[in-house]
Amino acid sequence: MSKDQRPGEEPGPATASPAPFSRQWREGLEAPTPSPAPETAASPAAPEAPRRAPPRLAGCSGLLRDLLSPPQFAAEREVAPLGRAEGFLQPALLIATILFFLTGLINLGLALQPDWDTSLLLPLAAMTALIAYLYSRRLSSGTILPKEWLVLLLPLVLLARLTTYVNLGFPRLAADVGRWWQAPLSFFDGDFVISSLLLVLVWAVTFVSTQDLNRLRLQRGELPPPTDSPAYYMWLTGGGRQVDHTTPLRHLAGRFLLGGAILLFCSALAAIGVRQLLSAPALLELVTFRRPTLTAVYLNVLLYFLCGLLLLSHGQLTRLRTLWQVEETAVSPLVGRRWAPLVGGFLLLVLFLALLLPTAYSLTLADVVLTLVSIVMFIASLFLQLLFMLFALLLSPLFALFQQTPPTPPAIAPPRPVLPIAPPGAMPAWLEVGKSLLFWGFILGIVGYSVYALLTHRQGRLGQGAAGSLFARLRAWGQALLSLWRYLSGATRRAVRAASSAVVARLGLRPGAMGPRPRWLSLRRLGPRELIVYFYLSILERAGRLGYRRGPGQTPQEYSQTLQARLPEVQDDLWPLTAAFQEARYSRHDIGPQQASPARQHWQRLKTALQRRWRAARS
Amino acid sequence: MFNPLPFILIIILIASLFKVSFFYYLLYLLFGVYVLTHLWARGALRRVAVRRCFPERVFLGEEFQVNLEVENRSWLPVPWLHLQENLPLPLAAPGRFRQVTTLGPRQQRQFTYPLAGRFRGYYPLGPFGLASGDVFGFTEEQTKAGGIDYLTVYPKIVPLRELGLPSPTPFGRLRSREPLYEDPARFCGVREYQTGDSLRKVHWSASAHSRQLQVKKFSPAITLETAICLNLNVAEYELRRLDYTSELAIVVAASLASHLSGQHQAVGLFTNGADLLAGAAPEAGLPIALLPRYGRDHLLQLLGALARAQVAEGLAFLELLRTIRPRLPWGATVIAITPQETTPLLDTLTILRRAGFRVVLIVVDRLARTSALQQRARSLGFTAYGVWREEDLRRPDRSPRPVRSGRQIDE
Repeated sequence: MSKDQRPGEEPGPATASPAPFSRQWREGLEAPTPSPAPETAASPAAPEAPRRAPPRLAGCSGLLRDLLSPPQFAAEREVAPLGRAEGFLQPALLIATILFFLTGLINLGLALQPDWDTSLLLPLAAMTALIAYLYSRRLSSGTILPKEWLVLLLPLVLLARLTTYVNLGFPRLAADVGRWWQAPLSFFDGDFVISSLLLVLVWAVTFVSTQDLNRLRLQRGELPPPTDSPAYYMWLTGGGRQVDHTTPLRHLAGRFLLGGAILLFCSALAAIGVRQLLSAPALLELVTFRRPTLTAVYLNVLLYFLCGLLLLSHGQLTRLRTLWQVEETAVSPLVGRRWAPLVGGFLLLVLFLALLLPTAYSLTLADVVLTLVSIVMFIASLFLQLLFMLFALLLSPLFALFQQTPPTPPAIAPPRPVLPIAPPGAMPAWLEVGKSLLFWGFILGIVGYSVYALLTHRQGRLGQGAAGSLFARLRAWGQALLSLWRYLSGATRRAVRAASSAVVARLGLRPGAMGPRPRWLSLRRLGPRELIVYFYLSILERAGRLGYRRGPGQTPQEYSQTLQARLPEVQDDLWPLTAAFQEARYSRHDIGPQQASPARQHWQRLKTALQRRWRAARS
Repeated sequence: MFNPLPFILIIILIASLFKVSFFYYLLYLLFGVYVLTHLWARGALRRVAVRRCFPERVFLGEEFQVNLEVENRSWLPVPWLHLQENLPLPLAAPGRFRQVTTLGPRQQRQFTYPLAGRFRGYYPLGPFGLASGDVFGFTEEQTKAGGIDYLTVYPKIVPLRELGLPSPTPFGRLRSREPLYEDPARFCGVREYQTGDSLRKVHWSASAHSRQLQVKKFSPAITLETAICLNLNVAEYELRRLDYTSELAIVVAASLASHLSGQHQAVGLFTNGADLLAGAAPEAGLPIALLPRYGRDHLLQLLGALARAQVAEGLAFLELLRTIRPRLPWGATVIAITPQETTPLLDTLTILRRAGFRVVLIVVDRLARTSALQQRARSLGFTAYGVWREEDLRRPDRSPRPVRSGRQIDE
């Protein structure tokens, strides 16, 4: 049992499997076969209509008999009760997508032949698509049965021939009928042939797409019958039925995208005027990407993509529901209810974002690449000059030591970056440049990501091929460059360390003789007690550098005696400072500025004496 | 699923060739849908958290509900979320929980499913399998969440009736025949002063509070403890009846422990079986070794150890008895539960008996009812029982009565 509700919400209706539909399927005794439909008579519980043997025609040979005998309609699938979404939305989206595609083809045809009468072609195509959908929806398999197609398509094709006379009028029809009688081939003119082909295309695409949509749904024999029925054991021994519900959706998506590419191509040809392309200069202009920009809006193309995406989304929902049904997984009703708002909202958001992005550019890709390269070179040369100056600065003491003048950096002016010049227009030049850079950035990013994703996705299959080896080689080069960079940076660090050690050794300094890293300490922030302690410890450190370190167990007074013996000049100041330190360190009473001030004076004198000793020792 | 990237490249080519600005919008639309759906699916699923709430320890046969809390911690809605948990078959049928739901931004949902502790054991629940994807079928993501929680199902406890044991009973405290010395370090309450009580025992603060003289009470210095030694060495079981016999031995151990704990006795457990939680109680260097303690908490710990115990190729039972001997206090009762009696075992039990321990042997085997075992044990100075069915624990009068030892116990 599952509870699926927000706090305070009433629990929604439990999701049940489609009630009568699945039960009838489960109770069916017919062995599950993917296709074709079985010819044996079905049990009374099975939904399929029994097929009747065709009436024999006496005196006809086999082939002739087959041609003349009435068509045997394929076994029909039982159409389960459809929800509103599936029953209305799915065919509407499918037919709309196909019609928007057809609009693009018609536009291309009109660009080639402006006299072509297409006034009623779209409504006829809509009718064709609807009939194809309803026909295909009821078939239990997607086998193409020519006789059935002929029976259903012929009236539509004839209607396509006759609808042209709606504008031409009845007298013209009568005259043409007479002409057809005399010359039957004149029935087939160019417009009619093209229109017929388009109708057949619409029929075929709708038929195949509907079969794909059918296969997204639960198929006969997928669910086991009730365990208390005899059919259950037959289902068990029959091995069940595994149906692939993913491939049909993949086919549908592929067909949609391929249609989109064709539609774009046809719309582009229609927009530029196909006849213009038939000249060599126009073709050259096309292949060298130097055509002028077209700013027309192709609403049918946009609607084609939107309807196609919505159809894919609905197909995905159908497929998932089927998979969950087969798994016997409980599904919350909110999944279906929220699906359409989520899809619609997401598409609107993406469309909105897409409309914000640039689609036009003033600078070509070559201009942009050249600009970027020049900027990189400018920065690199600046960096090299800076590096050289730093080296010169570091080495100047060395040269001073050897009384030589340091080398001056060569006066080489870094190459200035080549900035593109935007063409004159209403917008400022910098905005034009920025827009172009943004545009090319997006396009190159899309291309780069697509190529990378494709190669990564197919690396296994193309690993042996040229593309795979190229990708592997590029990757190896990239890794080699990265290793080289790491080596150089490590070597640089090691060289700097070695140089500093060499300088220290050359100057005769003991390791660590430079003392601890100087810390920034503000004496003003110290209180009187801390100041006195600091003064004493500072003297200890300076004396330590001279070699007079305090022993581990030495008290301050003992150390003062030791230091005084070695440095008699510090006697007058050392003892008072030591006493002040002991008072500040161990006493509990307050230490004020009146104690810190004389201590500071002692400290300064001691510091001076020790510095004198230090310089004497160095010289 | 399917990859629209090749078509996106074709669209780029067409748009670039024909320089139709509008086509770039379509390119952005398609590419945006593709990339953003991937990011959406991945990002939303990563922020889904699942928490499981259920009683971690149940008794055999107890039914309970597992409460699941699924939370979406991100601001992205999850269009569909497939939850799956594969459950151990001994707990539930059909052995899985599946649910598909949707989560709004920062939304939480709760689910429950029933489980029953049908078999003794220590069962892992989880992790949860989560699957989600986008709304167009471009991608599907899967992950695991919720971690693994463990459920302990205690072994069956058969309530013991009076077993007709002689006095002094081998289980529990001595009768009042022997004085018990009070341990002044083990204060256990106060009582009213009675003539003859030492003034040193008066509890002055309690007396002042109650305005009556109160005297301290102390626990006895000597208490009898019981150690249940359970043999789960697979080599000592008959292979054909391994499962039944070992489970029965565990039921006997659990029932005895529960009975003794109910009698306010200190009970411990030592076994040479394997603990599913390896290294849980290595007090005696054994897989399961719980020194005798009082109280319900200790009993539950003991039952938990029995829930996890499994037969294993480990220490021989005789070695087990020898190993635990130094750890037991003088006068403790040793209850040995084993599938078969052997001469070396009886010898070892005799040694324990002579060392001052009280010994009870329970043989879990269908041949345990022979009178030879009873007589032999009687001659060695300890009692023996045979158990083959659970009813033998409930109705001891049906099994041959244990005969009292011929010797008086040296006390």
